Amino acid sequence: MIGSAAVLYFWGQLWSRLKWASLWGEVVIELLADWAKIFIGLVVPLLAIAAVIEAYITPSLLFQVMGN
Amino acid sequence: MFNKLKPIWLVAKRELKDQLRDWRVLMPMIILTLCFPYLMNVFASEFVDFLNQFDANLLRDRLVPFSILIIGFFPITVSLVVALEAFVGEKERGTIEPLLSAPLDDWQLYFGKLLVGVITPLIASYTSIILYLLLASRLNLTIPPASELLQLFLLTTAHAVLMVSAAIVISVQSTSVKAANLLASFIVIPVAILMQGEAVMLFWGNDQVLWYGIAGVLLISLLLIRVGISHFQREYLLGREIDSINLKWIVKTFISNFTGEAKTLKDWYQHVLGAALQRVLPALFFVTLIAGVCIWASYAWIKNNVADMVATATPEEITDLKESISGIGELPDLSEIQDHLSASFLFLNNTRAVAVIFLAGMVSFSVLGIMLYMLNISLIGGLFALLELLGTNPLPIFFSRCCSAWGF
Repeated sequence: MIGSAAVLYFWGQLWSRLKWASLWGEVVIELLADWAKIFIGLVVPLLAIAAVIEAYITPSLLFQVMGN
Repeated sequence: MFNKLKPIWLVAKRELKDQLRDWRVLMPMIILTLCFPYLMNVFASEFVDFLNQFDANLLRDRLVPFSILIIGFFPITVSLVVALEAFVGEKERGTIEPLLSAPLDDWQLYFGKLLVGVITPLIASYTSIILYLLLASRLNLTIPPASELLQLFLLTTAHAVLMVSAAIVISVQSTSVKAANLLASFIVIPVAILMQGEAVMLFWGNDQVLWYGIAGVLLISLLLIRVGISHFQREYLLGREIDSINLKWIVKTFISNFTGEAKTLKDWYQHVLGAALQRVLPALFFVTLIAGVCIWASYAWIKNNVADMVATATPEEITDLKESISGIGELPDLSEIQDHLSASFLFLNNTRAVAVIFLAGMVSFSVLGIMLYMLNISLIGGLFALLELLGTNPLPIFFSRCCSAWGF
């Protein structure tokens, strides 16, 4: 969800902030840096936590609830 | 109102005259328009003979609509060059100054170029399609009904408007015709991928979905036109600077933007990432809204459309359906889940999904990225409704099956 929002933000900002073509490079790099911040600082750690929960905690909880 | 629209036609007429007097521009269009339907007809004839050996009636019946889609597309890609050089070509030839000094508003200039950019490929496409229909009617091929022909003509028109509106945006922003032509691949390739999806819809034979496709393409075209007009600056067109690649500057600017002025990791998380996240919040809100709508829509669709099928199905069919969605009638052996789903596998799988959404979004103005996300999130609502209809409690299955596919 956050990953998709970051891509949407990238294009939304690119279209709304571009008035002069000479600023393309600077705006694109700034927006890519924003995407990288969110991906590395938030999405990757959350995916790691989610993977641990899905692999260890969810099956254990289901095992207790379903008694399988 | 008419007086305001008249200058648009003047700009378009000037451009049309410019094109029609140059045989080098006309000849490729004429040759392609006249020869391609004939080639397609020969291919269709051979293909039908081949299909008749296997009694593949479905493919044979859908061959003409598919061919029309392809025939309509090729003249647009060739004529796209005209739209691509609409502004940047005038700039290179040195004819932009008289045009810009004319007493015309920016939007009149823009629409004049857009109009001629759309008219030329459409005339070529329509001629090709009509010629092909005449040729196909002589073969023993199934000609689509009028409603489907209307759809195909509208779809071709939508493709032309989409590609030309994107080409005009590129033409305004490019510094040379060469750059504009290279950037055109970002129009042709996504539209070619889009056409593959439309071809699937054609072979599927679902008219309603194809109408949604036409509406979607026209909507994107309107957005592109809107963006193009809002960013159209005649002063910029007179500038002649060339954007050069400076790797050192790119890396330096990226690192500077990425790290901000943070000295520690805590500082980076608090100030730099926090600020970036705040900027993304409106998009995140929108994506959350999409998620809600998708889950609700897929849930309601399954409830409305599949309920009757389930109610009238025999017990054997219900059992088959349950088995077809991975034995949902009973939960898998939970003690085996940990053996099959390792944390590293889940992490890599979900990271790959996010990377695919990013790449798809980057090459499609975020449209494909959002569509992939919508498809993924819709499964939750659809599966939830299907399980309810089959009389299975969805909640335990929901946690065990969907969580791993969902990720973040």
